Amino acid sequence: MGATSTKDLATMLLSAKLRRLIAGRDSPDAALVLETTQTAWLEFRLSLETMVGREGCRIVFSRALALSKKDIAWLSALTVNADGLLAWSSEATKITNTEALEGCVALFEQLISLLNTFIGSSLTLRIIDGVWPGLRVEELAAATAKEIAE
Amino acid sequence: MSEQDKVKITRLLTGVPGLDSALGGGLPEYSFNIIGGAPGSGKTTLAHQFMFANATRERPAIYFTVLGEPALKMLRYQQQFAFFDSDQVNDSIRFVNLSQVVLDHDLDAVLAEIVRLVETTNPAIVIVDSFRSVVRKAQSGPNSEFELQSFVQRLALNLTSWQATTFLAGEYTEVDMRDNPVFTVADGLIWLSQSVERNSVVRKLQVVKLRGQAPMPGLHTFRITDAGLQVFPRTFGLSARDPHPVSGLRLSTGVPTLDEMLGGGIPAGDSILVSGPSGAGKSVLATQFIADGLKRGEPGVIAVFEERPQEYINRSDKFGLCLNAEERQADLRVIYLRPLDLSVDETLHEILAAVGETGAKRVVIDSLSGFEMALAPAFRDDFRESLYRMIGALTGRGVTVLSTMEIVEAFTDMRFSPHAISFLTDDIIRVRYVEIDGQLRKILTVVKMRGGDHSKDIREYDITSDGLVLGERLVGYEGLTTGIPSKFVPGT
Repeated sequence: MGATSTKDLATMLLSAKLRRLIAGRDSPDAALVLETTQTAWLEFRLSLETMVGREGCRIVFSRALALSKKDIAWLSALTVNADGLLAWSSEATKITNTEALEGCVALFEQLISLLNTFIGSSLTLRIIDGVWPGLRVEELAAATAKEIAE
Repeated sequence: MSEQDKVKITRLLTGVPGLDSALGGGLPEYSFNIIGGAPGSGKTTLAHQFMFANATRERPAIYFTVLGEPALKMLRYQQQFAFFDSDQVNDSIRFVNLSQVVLDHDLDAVLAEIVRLVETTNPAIVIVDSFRSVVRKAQSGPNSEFELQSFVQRLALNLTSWQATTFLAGEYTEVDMRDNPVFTVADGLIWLSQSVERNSVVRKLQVVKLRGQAPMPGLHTFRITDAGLQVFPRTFGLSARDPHPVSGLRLSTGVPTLDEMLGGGIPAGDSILVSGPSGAGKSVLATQFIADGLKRGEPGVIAVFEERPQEYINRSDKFGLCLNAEERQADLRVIYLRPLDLSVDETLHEILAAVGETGAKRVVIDSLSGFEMALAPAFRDDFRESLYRMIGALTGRGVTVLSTMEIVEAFTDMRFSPHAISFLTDDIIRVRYVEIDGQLRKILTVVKMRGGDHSKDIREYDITSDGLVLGERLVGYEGLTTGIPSKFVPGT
C-alpha cells in the first residue's frame, strides 16, 4: 500500500461515511465533515482499541494529527482530548467543506500510513476490513473520484 | 485402572521444531502453562509460534497483551517471522489489549474481562503476555498473596473448563518460582534462558514441569531465526529408539591394505578416530572412506569445519576420488559448520537431518578440533560429554562415524587426542611424522579395535595421486612412536 493508495483509501473511507450521512441533504458543511470524521474515528477505534488499548489508540491518533498539521494549517484547530476523541474549536467550522474534507482525509491518511508503518499493509487492511466489513477494500477501490467530488 | 479406562490426553503439536520431543510428545490439550524467562529470551515468539500453528476458525486463539511490549510493536516485530500469517489476524486469532483494565481495576475485573471474552469467543488457545504485569498488580495490594492465588486458580479453572490451552508468558527469574502460586497452579512450565560468554550468546530451554507426561529432562539448546524458535533436544529424540543391532559387517576404508590391518575393515556402526598432526593425510583417508561408500552405493555425509565444502570436494579430484561426480551428488551431503556459537546439539541436528535425507551409512566429522573451535565457549567445557551424546546418537542409528583429530606432535610420546576422548571411539588409527635418515616420513598404526583383533604393525605410508597408500612395516627401528627413532642394532 503506497502513499497514493493510502490517500485514496482514506478518501474513500471518509467519503463513504459522508455519503451515508448526507443522503437526502444538501452538500455537507465543515461541521458535518468533522462530525463524520469523529464517527469514523470512533468506529475505527473500536477495532483498533481491542488490539492496542485505548491509550494506544489515543497516542496513534494524536501522532497522526500532529503529522497532518504540517501540511494543512487549519488542522491546528483540532486536538485529541484525554479520552482520545477529536475536539475542535469554532475556527475549524469556518472553513469550506472542501477544505474540511481535505484536512480530514489527510488526518485519516496519516493514521492509515502510521499503522502501515508500524504493522504493515496486510494487518492494517485487516483492521480496516474489521471496522467496515461492508466496505471492503476492493469495493472501496471501486468508488470513483467522481463520487467523492459530488 | 486399565489403559483403556484412562482419560486420553490429546497432545498439541507446538509448531516449534524440536519442542514436541522436549515436551515428551507435544503440549497436553487444555493445559495451563507458563513460559518464563528474562526479557529477550523468546517467550513472546514461542507463544506466537504455538498460536499460529494451532489456531483455526473452529479453534480460535485470543492473545491478551498486558502492559508489556506495546501491541503495535509486538505485531510489527512478530510479523517478521515466517510463521506469522496476517490472514489469521482478526480471523482465527484475536489480539486483545488488557492494559487499561489492569491499570484501572482490580484482579476481579481483569478476570471478569478475560472470562467474558473467553465465553463469547470460545477460544481453544489463550495467551496472556505479559502475565508478570498482572502478578505485579496483584502484589501491590495488602492481601496480595491470597488475592493472587485466588486469581490464578480461578483463571486456570475458567480457562481449562472452557477447554482452552493456555500460556502465560512472563519475565520471571528462578527466585520467583519459590512459593509462587502461579507456578504451583501451572500444569506446565517452560523456562527460556540466554547466557553470554565471551562474544557468543547461548539460548537454552528447559521443561521444568509438565503434568500428565514425561518431558525430556535437561537443558535444550534453541535458536531464534527468521522461522522462529528451533529447539535442539539434547538426546535428539533417540532415547526411545532401539539400539541398532550389531550386523557384523565391515566397511572398507577405501585403502585395502589398511582394511587388512583393521581385521577386515571398520565394523559397521563403529566410531573410528583418525588422529595425527596437520598435513598427515587424515582428511584424505576420510575422503577415501566416503568415496568407497559412494562407489558401493552407500550414501555419505561429511561435516567439515575447517574448509569450505567445495574446496573439500575439489581436493578429492587430486586423488582420483571425484566426489564432484554428478552421479554421486545425490548420495553425498557435505555440511559446512563454521559459526563460532554452535552448540553440539545444533551440529548433530544438521548431521542427523542429512543422514535422514540421504540414508547415509557413513559419516565423516573432519575434524573434531575444528568442531570444538566452532562451538560457543559455553559448550567447549562440555565437549567430551557432548561428543559422547553425538557419537552415541549417530552410531545408535547404525551409522559408521569416522572422525579426525589434529594432534600437536610431541617428539617424546604419542598421544591419541588432546582430550581424553579416545574412550568415546571404538577404534583408533594414529598417524604421525617420524624423522628417518634425514627425512620427515609418515607412519600409521592401528591403536585400538574394540570389535576384535588388528595388526600391531607400524607401517609407513605416503599421500599420492591415488590417495593414502600404505607401505611395508617399518623394521629395523625402535622408538618410532616418539617420532625420532633410532636404528635397531641386534644385541645392543
